[in-house]
Amino acid sequence: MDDELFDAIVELKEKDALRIVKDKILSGGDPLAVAELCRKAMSAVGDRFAKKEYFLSDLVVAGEIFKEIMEILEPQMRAHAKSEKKIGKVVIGTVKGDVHDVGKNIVVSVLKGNGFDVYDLGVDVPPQKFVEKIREVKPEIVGMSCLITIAWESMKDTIRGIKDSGLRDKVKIIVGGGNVNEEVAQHVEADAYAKDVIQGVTLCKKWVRA
Amino acid sequence: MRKEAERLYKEREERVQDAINLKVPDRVPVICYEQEYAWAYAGISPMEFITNNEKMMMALEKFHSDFQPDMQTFPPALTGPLILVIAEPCLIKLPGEELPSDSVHQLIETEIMTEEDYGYAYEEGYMQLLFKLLPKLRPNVPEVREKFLANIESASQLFRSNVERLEELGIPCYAGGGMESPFGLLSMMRSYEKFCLDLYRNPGIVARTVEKFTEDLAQLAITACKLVGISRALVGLHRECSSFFSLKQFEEIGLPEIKKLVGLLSREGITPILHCDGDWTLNLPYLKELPKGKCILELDASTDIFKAKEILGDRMCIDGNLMEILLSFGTPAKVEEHCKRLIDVVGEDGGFILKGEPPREAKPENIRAMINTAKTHGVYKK
Repeated sequence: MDDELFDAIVELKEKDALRIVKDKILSGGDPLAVAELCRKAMSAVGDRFAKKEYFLSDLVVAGEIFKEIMEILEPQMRAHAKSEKKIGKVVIGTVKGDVHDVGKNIVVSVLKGNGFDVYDLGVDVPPQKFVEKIREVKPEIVGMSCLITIAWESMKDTIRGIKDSGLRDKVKIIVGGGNVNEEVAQHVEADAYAKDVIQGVTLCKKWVRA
Repeated sequence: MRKEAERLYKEREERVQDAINLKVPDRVPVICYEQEYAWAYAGISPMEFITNNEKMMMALEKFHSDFQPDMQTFPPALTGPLILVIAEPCLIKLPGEELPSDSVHQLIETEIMTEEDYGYAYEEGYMQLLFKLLPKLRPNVPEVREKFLANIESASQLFRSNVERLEELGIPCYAGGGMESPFGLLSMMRSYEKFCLDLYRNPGIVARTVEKFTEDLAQLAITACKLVGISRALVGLHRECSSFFSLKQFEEIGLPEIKKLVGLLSREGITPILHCDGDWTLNLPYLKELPKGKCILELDASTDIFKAKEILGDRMCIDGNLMEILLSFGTPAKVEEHCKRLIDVVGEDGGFILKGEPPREAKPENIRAMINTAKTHGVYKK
């Protein structure tokens, strides 16, 4: 039945996956073990993306299936006073002056599916808000996204703000989005640029040695 | 039209038309998208550029006089915040209102069209759906339908006279009209993530709505082209490519849509300029199914333009691909080097137009380097 659930998620069979999860819970299965299996399946979905067998739309569907499964599992975990072990913390947002969030939201969903605790600050986020959240939750990683060219300088300002607050050496900073490449990452003084969601999440996992 | 302007107009038209017909022109044509740059270069605000005809024309005339590309990309039209909904049916944030006055307008992609709206969309077509959604799209505008129609009326009156004004200066327009693809529009109205789920759970309804919209939207582009007498139309494509959706979804919906659009436009003697944002590298082999010499493939820096030449060079004219990052962070020497490579490889044996899309951050010396390289290195040896 484990293989069956793993395959249903990897093959994006939403109805089958949800049915199996419900059956498992009804028959007294351990919600943490189910969650762990889902993470492995999400990781396999990412591998397919990296091999260009899956595309962004497939990641969105996998993310939705994962979200639906977690909605079933979470009350169970709470009831048994169990919580999942997270592999790391990420503070993420679209920088000031830019309100686009389609790409960032997919990154958030895939990060969660891979076991990260994600603090999503939303869009048009001023540098100070990044700094405050970093102070509060002490993440290993900060992610920044932008689509329009005007936000290049915002990214630079945000990273400067983090540096001025003495937090720069406490976090790894990853940037992405349309109109971002290695050259822009260097210009804004980020640690890395990811060209797609799976490349970004893989790097985050490497950073937290998961 | 003065004699010199008339000569220039004819020469530029022929140069571009030769490239489209996969012939070798006198030199590589060069075009530079003005919309995101001309206002900043002329020192006016982005809102003035989309709401004040005189200032917009002044900015464009200055751009053309200083840089001398071969064509104006698109007929200058006042695309105020209301008219923008036709090509960008999303909530909007405007410079000088929710955004700083020197920002560009930005779209908020949220679920404007509900799942239930698919039925209405299929029955009534794109424009009727847009009318239905207008109060949601522009919630702060009272009597939005009336205002929208009045804006279109006044913009179309200026449309023709603006094109004539550029003609007097010897500047033809690359596209006479344009449209966003049905697939892209639906994806924006539903919002990307919802649309992914629609395609997964109910692909049939999406496919038939796309097909229905294709005819409506082709007609809009045809009408605009006829109004200004220009036989090329811009077709905005982005969501179809593998950056957003799978190749299977492209085979089932994206490719049939593009084939139908190309067919409908070329039947009217109009050459579609397939403006392909995003990474189309994996989609390129499919485009071999499009009729030879009937369209232009316009690429940004995400697609491997050299691969495009290899796969499609004998079938369609290619234009591209100087984009925001190179034109802003690059140097004139870097720009020149990239242009020379494009001219030598993609431009070999004709069928190529050098095209740039500078953002407001672009350096004028980089734009100059691009245009000069086309005019010097781009000359074909007869």
